[in-house]
Amino acid sequence: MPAANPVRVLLADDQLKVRSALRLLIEQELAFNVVGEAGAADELLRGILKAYPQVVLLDWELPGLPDQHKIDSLRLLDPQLRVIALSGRPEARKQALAEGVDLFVSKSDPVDSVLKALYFIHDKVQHAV
Amino acid sequence: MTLSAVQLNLNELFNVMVDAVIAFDIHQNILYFNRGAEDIFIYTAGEVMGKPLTMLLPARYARIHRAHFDHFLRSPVASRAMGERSPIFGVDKNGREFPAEAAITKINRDSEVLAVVIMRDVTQRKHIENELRRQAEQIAVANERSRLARDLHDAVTQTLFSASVIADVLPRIWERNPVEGKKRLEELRQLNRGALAEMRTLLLELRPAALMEANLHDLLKQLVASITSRARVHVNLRIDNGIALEPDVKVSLYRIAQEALNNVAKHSGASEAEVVVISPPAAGDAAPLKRCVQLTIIDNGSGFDTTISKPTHLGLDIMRERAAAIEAELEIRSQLGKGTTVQVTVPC
Repeated sequence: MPAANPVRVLLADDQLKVRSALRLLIEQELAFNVVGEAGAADELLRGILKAYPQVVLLDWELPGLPDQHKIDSLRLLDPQLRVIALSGRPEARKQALAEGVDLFVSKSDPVDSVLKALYFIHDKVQHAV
Repeated sequence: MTLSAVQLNLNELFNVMVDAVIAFDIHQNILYFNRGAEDIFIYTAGEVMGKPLTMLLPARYARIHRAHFDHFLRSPVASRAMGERSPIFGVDKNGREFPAEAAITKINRDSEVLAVVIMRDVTQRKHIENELRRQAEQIAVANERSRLARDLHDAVTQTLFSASVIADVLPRIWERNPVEGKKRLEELRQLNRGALAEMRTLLLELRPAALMEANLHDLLKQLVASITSRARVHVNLRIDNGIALEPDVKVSLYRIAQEALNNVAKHSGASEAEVVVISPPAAGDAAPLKRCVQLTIIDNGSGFDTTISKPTHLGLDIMRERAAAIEAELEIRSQLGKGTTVQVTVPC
């Protein structure tokens, strides 16, 4: 595992308990480093500018995001930014993928799916370097 | 134009009307039956002339119609819409009964009194009205369902997701650091309790009858647990366990508390809130259910400007409606940066 060069992750979810659980999960993995948290869209934009995450774990229903073209403004700030959409609504998958997220994980999927998605992005990011 | 020419023209006019025009004397014997009446009732004018008007009514209405008619003849009112007391019906030659709208007018001619009824078959309109009502009900049910689904996603799913993430990593954490492991286990317990409370709150929405049955103390306790689980706000509940209120008061207070606490969780950013229910002590075990009670919800959050907030925003209109329904007084005090107080007072 390239622990010397962990992938920088930002957590965006309006619920503190979700962010706290995800942080706990990711902190067990040496390949990743949680560099910030955001509870709403404005915090997310500031977080991207301040903490330079390589991937955002994004709650698809994050307050303050527009109904459509949700991630356009994120990619405007950082065209290389990878986005994993997380949602409690499995039916959001189609829209999320159509709008250009790298991966979609339903919150009712097994917890493993979050880690699998992160490692998938991890490999892409490392190859790109 | 002579009077007879005017009368002739009126007759022509009546005959091009689609409405039924029927004239009769004080004994309710039919004197005039226009073409519209022939179409609606299928009888020809010849078949009904001189016969009693009751042949055009369902038998069960004959007596009440007679009473209404006599009352109308004696009253000083010259004309009135019929069916103000209850819907009216006609019956045609084939025995088909139909809903109708009608107006009746008295005409004093020489020493005689005539009555003229203008009547319209509203079967089609009633049918459309029923269909519209049915569709509106269906839409309301569908909206309610999707609101519940959204609430399930926003509340229970988030809590259970957090719980399963922690459960997943807990064994590894425990191995390395049992103290941290115990801390996380407690968090897991809290999440599960929260999910249960959120679930119960949503189940109440699926079975509103349960709201009527439960007591306010239990309802508010569960609501507070559900809010605490959804947002990191500490809510203190103060209420007598034995408080017994009339069902309509109880349900309205619950709904107002629900809206107010939703605002606390979603918009206020408050860290602390308090729900207080005060009611004068009951006069013994067999005391009747009460109305007089005061509910107060206070938070230390960001507050809002009460002079510019739209009523639909923050569910304020829902709270007002609920309060008005039980003749309670609703007071909302808020200032930017100074928290919000919602107070409902039901007078004794």
